[in-house]
Amino acid sequence: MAFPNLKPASREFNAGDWPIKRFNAQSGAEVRILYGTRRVNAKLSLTYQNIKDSDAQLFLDDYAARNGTLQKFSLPTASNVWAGWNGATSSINAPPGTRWRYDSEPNVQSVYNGLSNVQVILMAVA
Amino acid sequence: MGFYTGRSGSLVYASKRIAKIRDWSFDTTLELLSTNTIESTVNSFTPGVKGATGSATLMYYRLESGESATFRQFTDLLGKIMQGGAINTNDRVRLELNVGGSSKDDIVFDAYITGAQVSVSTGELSVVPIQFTMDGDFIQVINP
Repeated sequence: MAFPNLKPASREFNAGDWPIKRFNAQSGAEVRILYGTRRVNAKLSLTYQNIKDSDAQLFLDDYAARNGTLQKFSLPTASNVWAGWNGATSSINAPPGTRWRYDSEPNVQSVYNGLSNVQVILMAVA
Repeated sequence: MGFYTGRSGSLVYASKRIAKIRDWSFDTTLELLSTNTIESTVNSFTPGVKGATGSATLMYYRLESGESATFRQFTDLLGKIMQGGAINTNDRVRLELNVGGSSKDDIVFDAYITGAQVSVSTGELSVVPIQFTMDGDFIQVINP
């Protein structure tokens, strides 16, 4: 089962960071040590507004199929998730070496007969 | 019939016309739900709920002998909001707005009286403007 191929009403991407440990000396000096080569904990927050309940259900079905926050998956470059982004899709997709998983359960809000708002938050993990 | 004027208009409550009204108006609105996506360059919508509100200016007129068989007094509507105690669902009224003499010029709906003013001014007839909001769907609408 593929992640629902719908265009979001809004999209927020947090780029994450490399695994870095910081040490601060009493002098104020900071030492940073890089522990890995992959950028992790990137987050993608997608909001779908006033979509049909049948489309909202796709997110719930996909979430169940992936055992919630357990399984990782990829979002294709051609996916409607990236609609409206004029930069390189790779810059807001999962960082190299990582794939997406659900960070939490999809939030489905019924707003009108047959229509719902959905918010999905994904996290990139190695 | 052609053109219509206020001469043929009326406001009916519980099968009787309200005696002496100056005017009424009725607005119907539709809420639109945005279906814009990120790449949208123009707005798109899907229809949401519809509703209607209206107003009428009733004259502060007390029925004279023999009129009660045909007309209702302004107090019948004013009393639906200007009253002691809580206002409840029993205060909902079925209103019929008539533009002309034919039933196809009628707008019928249930409503709550949501506002009423009593206006008294030197040199002016005393009036009772009221406002109302439709509750539920139209029962009858103007038709061709």
